[in-house]
Amino acid sequence: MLRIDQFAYENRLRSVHPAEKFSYAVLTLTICLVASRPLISLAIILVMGGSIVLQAGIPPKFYIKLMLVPMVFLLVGVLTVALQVSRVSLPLLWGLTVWNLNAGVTAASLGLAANLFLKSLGAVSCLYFLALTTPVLEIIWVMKKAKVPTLFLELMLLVYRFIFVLMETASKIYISQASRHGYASLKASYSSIAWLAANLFAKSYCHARQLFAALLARCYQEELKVLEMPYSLSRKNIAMVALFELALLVLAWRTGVGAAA
Amino acid sequence: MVLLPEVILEAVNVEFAFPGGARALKGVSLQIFQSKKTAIIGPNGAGKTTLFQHFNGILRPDGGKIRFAGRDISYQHASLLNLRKNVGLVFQDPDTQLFAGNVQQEISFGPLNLGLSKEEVRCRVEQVMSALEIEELKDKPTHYLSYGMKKRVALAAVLAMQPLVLICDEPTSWLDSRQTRRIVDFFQKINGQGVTIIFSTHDVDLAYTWADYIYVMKEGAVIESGAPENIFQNEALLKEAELTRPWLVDIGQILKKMGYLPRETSLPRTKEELYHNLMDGVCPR
Repeated sequence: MLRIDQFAYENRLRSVHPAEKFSYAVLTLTICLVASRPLISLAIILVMGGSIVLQAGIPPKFYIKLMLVPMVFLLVGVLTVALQVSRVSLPLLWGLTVWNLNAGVTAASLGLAANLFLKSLGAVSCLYFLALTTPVLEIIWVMKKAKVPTLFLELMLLVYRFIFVLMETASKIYISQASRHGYASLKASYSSIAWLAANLFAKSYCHARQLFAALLARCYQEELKVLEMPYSLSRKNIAMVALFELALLVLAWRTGVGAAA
Repeated sequence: MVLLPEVILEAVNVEFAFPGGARALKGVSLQIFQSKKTAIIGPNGAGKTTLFQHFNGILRPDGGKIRFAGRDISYQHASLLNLRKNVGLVFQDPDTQLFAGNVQQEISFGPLNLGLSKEEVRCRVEQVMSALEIEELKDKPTHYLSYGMKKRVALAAVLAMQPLVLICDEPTSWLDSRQTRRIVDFFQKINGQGVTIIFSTHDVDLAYTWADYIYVMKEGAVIESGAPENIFQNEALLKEAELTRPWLVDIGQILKKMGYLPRETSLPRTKEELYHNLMDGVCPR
């Protein structure tokens, strides 16, 4: 989580206009979800991986680790899709029959599972691209330009800021507990973690109130106004994003035609 | 030319209790003089922070009143904004104050709320960043700064509003000696430009050397006030307020007793003054 945020501030695509990165990620994501074809998903996974590792300069090891994060959920989800259970006999590729229940995988269910798997990974890679190259603030800035309601964006900003405050507070409490043998035994750990959670809540509440007072002290009037950063659009980048999305669309259409035929 | 009143900020019999019922201020009266440096000292829980939050209208007294520039402050929206524009408050913990993503955005928040143009805001942000030597932090997200840097950014964010009165709640707490020196030098500079400074501190040496006037608070009341040399030579008061004596007072008194310093002169306020007096005392010119 923290590492992702750090990379967002220190990657080779940092100076690229956030709207360009945002549209690249979001358009590709949309195509990935709508097209729903293994080939497209695979292409997206590869291209996004290339953008992240080669263009943004994120260490490949770190990126692979990140891609492994959703794997657990994905595998569980995909398994239930692949596995079919039915009373009527199925064209099972592999399976077993208990009494009159057939359980196993069919060619269709396997295809569906593979498609779902690749589609999810493709979508995740798009989001990782955005998260690893664009700081949250700039994403918020783009959304503001896209006329997303201010209230929502300010909440986003405060949530983002408070994640760090919370983590810091939690780690301080944890260290102070651990240094007094708070996690020496399982029983102690349970009680320590309970205290930590309860304290964290109280402290966060306190912190939020103080932040509000501090905002008021600086003439806060129902809107968090800050200076906008100057960004400049690059025609080359826009053209490249457009070309890539177009290529994906053409590919989707061609394979779509092929699949229909 | 408009003559400003000498007393710029004043608390008159201020009473305040927190919603839980704890009485934080029990009839506090004090006066802050224009363009002076006022220190408020006293043990934890004396009500210093609570008093500060009254000075710019964050808290509203249950009894008594706060006066700014000779007028009772009004708690109407427009007058509160005007008050907060003139009375800047820097919180002790910079983390409660910083909310924006990067340093220059954080600093721009206050000036933008004053309704200034973007160019003017940008100009002020640059100005204050260079004055506090934090230009290189410009695009850094606030949560990756060190404590000392956060403290300076929080100060910059208030200064960018160009207040007449700057209130700092323990501006040097948790800072190393170099950072402390830097902050104090900076305060000296803006005080020279006429900004009234109010600060709370547990650092008696700082209060003694640097304040023009001191208020001592304890358990929600002002128990004494006066010039630093009077406050810190009042043994009974120091005991009651649980304060230690500044080292300059200690050594000054000893040197006087031993005859190294002339008895009739006042105690040295700074290290430099001490050395100077000592030279004069030991080998009179």
